[in-house]
Amino acid sequence: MLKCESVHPQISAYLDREMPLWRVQLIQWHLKRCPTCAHEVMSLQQADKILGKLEPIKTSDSFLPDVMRHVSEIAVIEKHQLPLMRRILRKLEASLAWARYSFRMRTSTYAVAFTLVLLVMLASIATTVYYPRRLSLSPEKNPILAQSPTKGLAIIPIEIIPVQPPKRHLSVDCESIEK
Amino acid sequence: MRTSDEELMMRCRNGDMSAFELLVMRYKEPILNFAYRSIGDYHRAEDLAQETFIRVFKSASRYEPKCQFKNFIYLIATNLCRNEIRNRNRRNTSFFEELASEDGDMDYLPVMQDASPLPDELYEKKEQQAAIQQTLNRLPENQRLALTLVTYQHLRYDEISEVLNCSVSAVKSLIHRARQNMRKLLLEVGIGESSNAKV
Repeated sequence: MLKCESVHPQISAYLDREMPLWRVQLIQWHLKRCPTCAHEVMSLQQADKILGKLEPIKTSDSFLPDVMRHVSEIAVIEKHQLPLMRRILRKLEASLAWARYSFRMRTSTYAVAFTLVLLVMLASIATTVYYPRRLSLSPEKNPILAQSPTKGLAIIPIEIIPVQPPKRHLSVDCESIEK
Repeated sequence: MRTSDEELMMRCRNGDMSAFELLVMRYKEPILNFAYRSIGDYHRAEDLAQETFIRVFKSASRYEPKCQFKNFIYLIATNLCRNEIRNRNRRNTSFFEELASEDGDMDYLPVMQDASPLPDELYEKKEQQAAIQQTLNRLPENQRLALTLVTYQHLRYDEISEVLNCSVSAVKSLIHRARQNMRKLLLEVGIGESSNAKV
């Protein structure tokens, strides 16, 4: 069980939910049993609520144009003051940084694509190695035949000739035979 | 899809001014509010917010997206606000003391933009907000900055630790002490006297 001394310094983190859920539940469990700590939480919560009463303010209409004007002036001054070589170097650095950034941003996409390509390649290699399309009948080439009981025996190739019905070459006149 | 701040900053580094303009539009109000809550002076806060964006633009050529842009811009704004607070402490001037002599500046309190028809309520609200801001200004520099970042800018403790350049546990205790002090100071000025008090 948590003690009041350990709960007190954590109250703000508890109010901001800046702790793991199990710790939040532990503190909640303690607060249900300790009126002193519960009061402390309530008073800090109230102070926070009062602070929340301050309404947000808006920038004046001239804020954005002013900033952009200042910034454009700075850009023009830099352009005129910097030597040409320095400007080229700076441009080059910026392009390189952009390339690095884009690559880093797309690393996960590249990784997925590379993994897919690798898997397809492995699958095609496996198919070629383990499932040959033509089975060789020679025991030297075919490991299955080499292990079979017919190992060592000569294999005689048999040609199967399909049986065809005999062709009729003569026509027989049945009536003349009967006579 | 929303373009990330980091990508906009990288485009800005490549000379894209429209990317920078978009960044200013995204952050102008959060930065102004942060500066205003930290120093309590609208005009000066607007100057500091402008200065923050100018510094961001100047540092664009060296920008590397190693950390979040949000933390980067708040770091710049925090340093500017810190300098301002120190200068003010050195001069020993308080904005609200200046306000007492110049009624005109009260127009910049946000409540004046409220379209409420009751002037009495409006005045009360204005006074209460001024008192809360004044109380916030009495907090020590680091506590005020940390409390402003967590309460108004909704930054997480790890983000605040990056902005204030300290550990997360230091941020935790800083915010806790800030809240305790704030409660004490609010009680002194008679705001939130008891748990049943109207706030």
